[in-house]
Amino acid sequence: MITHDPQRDDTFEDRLGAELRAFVAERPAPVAAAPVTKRRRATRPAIALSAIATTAAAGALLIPGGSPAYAVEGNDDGTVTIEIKDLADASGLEEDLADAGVKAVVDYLSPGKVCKDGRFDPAQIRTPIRQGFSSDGTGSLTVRPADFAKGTTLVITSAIGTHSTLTTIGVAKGAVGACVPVDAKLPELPPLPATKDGKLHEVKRGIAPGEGVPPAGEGDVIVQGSSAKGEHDGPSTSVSGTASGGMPEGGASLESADR
Amino acid sequence: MARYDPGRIGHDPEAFDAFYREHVELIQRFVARRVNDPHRAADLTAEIFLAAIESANAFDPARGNPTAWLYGIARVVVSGDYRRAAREERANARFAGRELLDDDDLARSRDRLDAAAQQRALHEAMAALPEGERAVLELVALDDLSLADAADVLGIRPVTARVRLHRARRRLREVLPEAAAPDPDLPAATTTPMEAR
Repeated sequence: MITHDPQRDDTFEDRLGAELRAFVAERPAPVAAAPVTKRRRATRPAIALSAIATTAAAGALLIPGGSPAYAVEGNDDGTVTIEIKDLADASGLEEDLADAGVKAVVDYLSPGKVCKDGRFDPAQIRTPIRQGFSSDGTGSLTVRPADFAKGTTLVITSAIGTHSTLTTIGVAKGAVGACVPVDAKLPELPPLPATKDGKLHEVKRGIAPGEGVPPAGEGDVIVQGSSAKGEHDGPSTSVSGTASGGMPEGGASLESADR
Repeated sequence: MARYDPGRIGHDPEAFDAFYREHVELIQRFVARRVNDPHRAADLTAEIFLAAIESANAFDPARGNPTAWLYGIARVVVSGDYRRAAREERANARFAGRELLDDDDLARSRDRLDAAAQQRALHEAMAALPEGERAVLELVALDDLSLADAADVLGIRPVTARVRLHRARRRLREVLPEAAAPDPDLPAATTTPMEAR
């Protein structure tokens, strides 16, 4: 702190302004922008929008759509990728998915709880559901909105277990009942060998490396994300698919526990 | 509107000066509604403007006004997310706003904090709300923005902001009946500090 000097009549605001102004003066002018092509012009508003929506304060963290807890991003092939980083802002995710053309119901439950069974009828839809995860516990899911027929709903439910978080992804036909939380022992999947790169792994729905179960037609998918966020013994993420209804009878499981 | 180009504040001291003078009081009040410590408030005020300087290139005049843009930055900085995201970039450009405070400033800051005590309590009550909903409610109930301006700050559509505000109010009423009770409906569209500028 500055000791008070009666001679001084400037204020904090003046001094801060002067410091910042000096800082600005030292900064190099930005490199002249490359000629703006049509294509670039077309994509720009979206980028600017996300800049306002999220941080971009740093220019370093662009999360198109959503909040720090998740991201919803459209891909060139018409699919949409959802990244879940924190189990927060479920309603925001629902709204952003609706904006992206996918009706969704998202429920994040408190530890040890799952939604009571039978809250929706599983729908049979054909959509390339891809999922992946990274070593920081972020899970991702890619779906094609066009494949979601009228009356179908993407149902995302996360339950927190002792060492991991289980995110179940299903597709419902018709109405989705409210989630009634019930106590449950969450299946803890066995760890897979650690990966070195910590890259996003991708797993196609219906592949069952561990269980040798044939691809499950149009099943649900379970993404088991890291307990992460510093709760337990380090990042560990896994992805697993099951047939709809939540019973693990076919699907994929993959886990990364690295760093 | 502005007599300067916000896109230039990152490298043009004159533009920055005008931008700073226009917003410094607004930002200090914004911070006072969320933070109770004068030293931390000073740090955050400095950080918010630093963040604006560093991201000025991203400012797109076609989207939102400079004040909405700055509020968006302020939200992120105060929530702590920015610090995490930009730690590296920051390493060599750190300002401790608190070092610029003298006793007079502290007294003024405390006055400002006292005036915002009620809003801070409301802010704390909102902590339990989901982020997306809380963000809208904060800007409308705490910062007195119109729904349109709040949507602008958050980069979401007004209709989305409206839905989130409704949900947030409903939820807040469940948690804290007295806090949300006085005004359960949407705010009347009034002139906001932002538009008035």
